[in-house]
Amino acid sequence: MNCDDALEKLSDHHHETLATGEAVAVAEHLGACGGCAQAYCRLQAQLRGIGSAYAERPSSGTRDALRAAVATEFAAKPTGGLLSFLRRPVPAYGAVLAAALPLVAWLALRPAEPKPIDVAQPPAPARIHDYGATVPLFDRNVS
Amino acid sequence: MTCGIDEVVTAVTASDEALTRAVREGDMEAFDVLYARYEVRLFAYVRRFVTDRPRAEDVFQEVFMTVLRDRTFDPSRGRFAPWLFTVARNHCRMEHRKGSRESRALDALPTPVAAAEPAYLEADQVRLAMDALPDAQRQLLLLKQVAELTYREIASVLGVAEGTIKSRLHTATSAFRAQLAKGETP
Ligand SMILES: [Zn+2]
Repeated sequence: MNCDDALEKLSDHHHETLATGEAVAVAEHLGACGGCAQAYCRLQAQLRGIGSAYAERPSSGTRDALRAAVATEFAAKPTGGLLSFLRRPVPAYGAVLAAALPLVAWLALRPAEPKPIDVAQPPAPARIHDYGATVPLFDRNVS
Repeated sequence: MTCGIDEVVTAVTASDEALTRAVREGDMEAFDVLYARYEVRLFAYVRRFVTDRPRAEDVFQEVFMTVLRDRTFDPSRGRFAPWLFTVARNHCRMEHRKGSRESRALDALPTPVAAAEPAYLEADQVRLAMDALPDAQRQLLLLKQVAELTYREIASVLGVAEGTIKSRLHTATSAFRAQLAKGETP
């Protein structure tokens, strides 16, 4: 990057509106070129000058009057805590959740229904498996 | 009212939006923090348009109260700074319209200080250069350098795209520097 390019981009560099690659190139040029670095310092001082040229504070009387007006207008009420809780913003899905709550409660609390019996297909006879006994119990030799 | 260190730290680090909510609930510590953040930035902005200091102080108060009072501004949805400066801009415009006839008459008068003292202070040079800019460029530089708003916030106040703000800022900065250079040339 040459000096003309760098000088043209100084303002955008200060305002941080350059793309990353360009910003790096300008920074590298400023690190190597005393003339452009000086021009950059001057630009920064000029822009800071706008802030300081207009920096002015309202009088303490104005501050006190405003503070008193705010205190009167927004005085904390005894019910303030409850009201602010009720006024809290509710997310959009809050209404859906609130509507679904009775359904969830009904599903959780309803009595268990007995299984319907399929008359067409009688239940399979109970089988005993993995009993692991080769000899009937009454033949065992219990000592 | 007593206020613990934890509460003070919380107020100092809280966002403007959280502070606005707290002020509306009557928290005056929150007001103090919010006021300190915007005292100079807002007053400097108002002063640029309302030259009469007592009137500028009234406008400053009106703007602050309007923003705190106005429930159409929901701090959970929008940013405080752009809203504050949008309200300030509208109030200043109204003031300007009210006083335009008067100010035209004042503008016609010679400026005795300028005539008597050609070597301006640096702040005066800056003000002269700013005054010479078109209103749109001056607004933009004030919102960036005095109100310290981000590009997104400036775009919100002026109602244009963020990219447009960036390119206009380049032009406004060049114009401002050209005016400063003119002022420096004897
Ligand atoms: Zn260079």
